[in-house]
Amino acid sequence: MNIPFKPLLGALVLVGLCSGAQAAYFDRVGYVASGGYVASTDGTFVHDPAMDLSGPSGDVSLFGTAVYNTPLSNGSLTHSYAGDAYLVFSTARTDLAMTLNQSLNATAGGALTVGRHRQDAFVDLSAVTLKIVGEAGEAHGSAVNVSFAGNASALVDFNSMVRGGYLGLGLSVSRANTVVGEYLWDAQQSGDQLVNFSFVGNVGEELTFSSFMLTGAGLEGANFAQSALPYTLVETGASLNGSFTIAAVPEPETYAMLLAGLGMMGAIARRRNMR
Amino acid sequence: MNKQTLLAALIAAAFMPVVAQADCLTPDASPTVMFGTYDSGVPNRAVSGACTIDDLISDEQPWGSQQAFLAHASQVSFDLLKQRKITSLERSKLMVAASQSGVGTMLKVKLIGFNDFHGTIKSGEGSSSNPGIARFATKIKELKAINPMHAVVSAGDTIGASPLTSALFKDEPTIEAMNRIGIDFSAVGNHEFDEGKTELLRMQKGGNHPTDAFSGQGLPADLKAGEFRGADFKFLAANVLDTDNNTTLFPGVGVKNFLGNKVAFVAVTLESTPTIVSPSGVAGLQFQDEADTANALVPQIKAQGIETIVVLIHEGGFPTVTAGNCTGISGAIVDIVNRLHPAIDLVISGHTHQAYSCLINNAAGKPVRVTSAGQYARLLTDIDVTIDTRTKDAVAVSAINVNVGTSTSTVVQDPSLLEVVNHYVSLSAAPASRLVGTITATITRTANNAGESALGDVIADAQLAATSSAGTGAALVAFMNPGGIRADLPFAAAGKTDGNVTYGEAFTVQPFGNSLVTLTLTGAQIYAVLEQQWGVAQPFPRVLQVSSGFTYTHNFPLPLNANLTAAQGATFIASVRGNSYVVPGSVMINGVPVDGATSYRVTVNSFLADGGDTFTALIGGTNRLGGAVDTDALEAYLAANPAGVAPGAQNRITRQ
Repeated sequence: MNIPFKPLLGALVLVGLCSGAQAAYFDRVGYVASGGYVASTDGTFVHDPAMDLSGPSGDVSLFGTAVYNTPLSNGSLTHSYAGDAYLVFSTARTDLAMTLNQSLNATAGGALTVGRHRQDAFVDLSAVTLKIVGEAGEAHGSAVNVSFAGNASALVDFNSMVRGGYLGLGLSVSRANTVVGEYLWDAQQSGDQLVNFSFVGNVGEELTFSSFMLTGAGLEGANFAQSALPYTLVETGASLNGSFTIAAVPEPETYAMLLAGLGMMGAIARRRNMR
Repeated sequence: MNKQTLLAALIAAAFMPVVAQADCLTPDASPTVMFGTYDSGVPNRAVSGACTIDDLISDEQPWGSQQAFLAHASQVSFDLLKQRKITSLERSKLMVAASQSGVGTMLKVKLIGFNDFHGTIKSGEGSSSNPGIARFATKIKELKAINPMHAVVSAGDTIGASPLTSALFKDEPTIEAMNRIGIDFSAVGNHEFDEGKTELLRMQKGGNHPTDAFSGQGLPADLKAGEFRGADFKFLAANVLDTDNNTTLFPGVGVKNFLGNKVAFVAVTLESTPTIVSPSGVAGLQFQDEADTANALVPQIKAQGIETIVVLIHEGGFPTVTAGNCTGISGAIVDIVNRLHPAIDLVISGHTHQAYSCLINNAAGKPVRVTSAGQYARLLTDIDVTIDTRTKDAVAVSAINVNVGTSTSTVVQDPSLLEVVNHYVSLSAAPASRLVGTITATITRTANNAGESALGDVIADAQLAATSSAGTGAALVAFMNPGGIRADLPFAAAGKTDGNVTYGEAFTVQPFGNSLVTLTLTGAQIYAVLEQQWGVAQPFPRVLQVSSGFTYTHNFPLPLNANLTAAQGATFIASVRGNSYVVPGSVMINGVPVDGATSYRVTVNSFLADGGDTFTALIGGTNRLGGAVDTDALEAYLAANPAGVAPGAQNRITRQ
């Protein structure tokens, strides 16, 4: 069957297809961001809160990193973390980027014993209030499709000497107390995952977004023989990247126009066949 | 919400995987990974093809905020960790260094300033010292290449009082050339008003001149719908009000966004523009105080979250030592900067055609950088503004003037600009080379100590000859303003026989296209006109050039054969101007003393007839009769003297 392309009908079809384009965006109303690092080695603590670099409005930036060297008899422990989280707002989309990594190395100049060591790091955008703002002409309360697309990566590498090692990450979007979109990963091994979800929102409503990454590890009564090279005990890391986009749900009349266009094309094709 | 699209794009770019990085033709071979000058301690090595960790971190490129850089460093280092090319400890060390280095907290922006370009697009036109716009463009390109964060701005007189190659085509060639260079903003100077607001608005918006056949002759790439396209850059003028609707003729402020760090450019022209521009050129416009205007805009600018503020001003100063530290700089700019709001970080000035980079105190008594880049494309001011990306405010400003070269220098001429220039040179070749007469020697506009020049004599004589018959005005005398004589008439020049005068040369001498006006003045009014040469409103003495037969004596106390020094200028303003220096009874026409009550027919150009250059006594002239265009009068005078016109004898004005 040979259907000649009719400009007018084509235009109708295109109008129908295009009407689902981006039509709203997230505005940040408020947020709580926290993060940091806590480590203790045989009763000696270090505590390091992440810096909140966010501006007075708009984007959220959380950042923290440190390297610690804890001397012990016959050696030392070197432990570190680096974590950050960004939410970047524009009318096109809202971008999320988070990373966190943690390390633990032991240097044994002689026989080294670690009685008890524990380290935990996290970054957390725990309650970001987001408002769906409509573009010009977008009525308050009209339905929109909110979708998130991104990916997550995990690097999980614990030496067998390590106790209580973990790495987890996730994000969720809630309307009041109801979760409307979420992703969680308790990473047991290294790998990558796609992160996709969507839900229907309304122009003008406020949603709560939260995301987190955490990782930790420890040693208990660990003994290390003298070694010229340091022992690599913990190598973990995670990243989570993605974007929220908000598109208008096509109005019934738009569907009607789309269907009308298709119908007319079909009718013309049929008439031509009948000739 | 703040639409931080730029930052978003930047962070999005940071998400690109490591493999998408550019090839590293010359890898950064630093032994350890450096963030600026901060050593991370992490051994540097190739991790992606030839690219080292240091290459991928890209700390040298401009970052609009520390967050943007940290996000980038985070992503790059995480990718390397994931690929097991660095360890987790190394990533932590890299991120410690990224944060401690402060990379991203300061953003360097390069501003490239110029002023008083005056349509000097063709190399060597007007003066062999003029490098032409093709060399000018090359230098701008070189400066732009140093820093992708840049803006090119003019402090006014970009057009107007131009030589033939631009002026013949209504200065459209200059606009088209500036479009090709890619300049951001041009303040309007006084000369932008030479042909009035309608013509200036056409320079911005485009469209052909309603009557001039030389309009709209640009190359196809420079036109829009077959007509002159107008300026791609924005003309700015915060202190020029259109009295028709009480709004500014042009936007007062231009803003350029550098990765989320905005710089505001506030443009003002000299408040006294109406005293130096043909009154018809500024009809319907009001010019307001420069400093008051700029200061009043500061709160509005800051309310938009903009903290880095640059003033582009078409008013300037006179430094005592060229390229020195500007000790003793004088001129109107000093008082203006002394009154400027302390939030203003930099002043790019012009008008005086001087070259300087000075510090002058603002209203808070704090020094602010004030620059000017000479004239005629010969210099560019290379300005580095360091912006703290956390406060968005400028924390350091440095500036130097760089030479563009001359018409003979080896600076490569940008082919794209040369194309525009050659196009117009070729279009103007026939009209420009047309022989209009001969001269017996070079006739210069250099004044003697009485204030009279040989070329002034010739032009005044030509204007008298064009208007002396009963039908053309019955004039007895002609007066010519010295500022309207823009070049000498050379005896010898490339492309012509010695002694010949081409239309191009005549045009370059008198590029304004003023017409002649003959009017009736009483003898008392003639005395008043002469005393206005050093009248209370004159910024410096302006000695009118007078026609043959008109003689007088003055006892003006300062030199007239050179520009006044800064000290002499100050003396002129303080105690000289406004006094009478014409010797009573010395003013004569053909040896007969001018009588105060008698009427005389006097010819001036249309600029003076309207009271231009503050010769307001001419406004009282009656029985006006319009005449020929000034260049046509000169051409007719040359034609009437086929043996060749000799330099004027400079014996009409006598200093006692």
